[in-house]
Amino acid sequence: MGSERKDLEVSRTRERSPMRDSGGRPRTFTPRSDVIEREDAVVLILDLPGVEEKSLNIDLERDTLTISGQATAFTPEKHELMYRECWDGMYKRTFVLADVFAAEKVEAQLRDGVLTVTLPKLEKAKPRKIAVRAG
Amino acid sequence: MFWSDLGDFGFGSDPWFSSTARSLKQLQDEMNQLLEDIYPPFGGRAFPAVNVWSNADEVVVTAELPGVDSKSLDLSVMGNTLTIRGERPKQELSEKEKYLRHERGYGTFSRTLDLPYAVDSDKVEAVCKNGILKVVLPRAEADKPKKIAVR
Repeated sequence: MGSERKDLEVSRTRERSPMRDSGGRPRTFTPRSDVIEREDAVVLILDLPGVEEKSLNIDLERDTLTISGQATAFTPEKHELMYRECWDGMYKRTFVLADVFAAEKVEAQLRDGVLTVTLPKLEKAKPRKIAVRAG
Repeated sequence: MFWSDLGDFGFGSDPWFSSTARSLKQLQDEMNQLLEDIYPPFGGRAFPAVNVWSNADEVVVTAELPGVDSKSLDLSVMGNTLTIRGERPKQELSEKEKYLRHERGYGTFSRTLDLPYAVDSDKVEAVCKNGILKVVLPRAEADKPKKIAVR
């Protein structure tokens, strides 16, 4: 409790670090995502404004896909903050996949702050027509 | 609902936000109310989310616009307001595709911000990178405080 009081005192004179929320915890955001199922693949589209490729991590472990990336907003040195709605912090989201995917064929593209991850389905997961013999 | 809204706008439970910011927020809410009736809201909240910085000579506005084509952006400056308009088109799916989850908004948006002073619309510069739009608006010459010599 003592350290919390010190945090509040500091914020009186300057803006609290945009990296931490009011409890002193580093901020994490859950990015809005679309998931589209195609016949041959599943496509995830995530809004990650301010995230650069070099800070992006995509991990696929068995059926769990974790995407994370550090978002940095513009931090000017010579200007005073008047109004803030966007924060620096980490975007992170975990998806548990219900399907089977070829891990080495996963493709990801980050463009204009939007990440598109394409997970091609394995051959045996594609819908197959089953011939019915009359008999 | 009330507290989470304050938190999202960056004030949280901090009682020391300046009165300037508070009145800005009031103006913002009124503006958003007007616009939300006309445009489909992006998740019910003002879009795009913005930060505003300023000093004596210029105002810097940054906005989060993931997936918005900078060619579709329409920025206009009038006096001391900046209006950001644009569109994020709906993703058309073919017959063989379907959404398992659909959280990202789409549609046209428009947001007008009040700036602390009049800006020079000829000298405004805007850059869009990684889905973040940064607009630098230099102060209008006529609006700068002038020193008056006393004889």
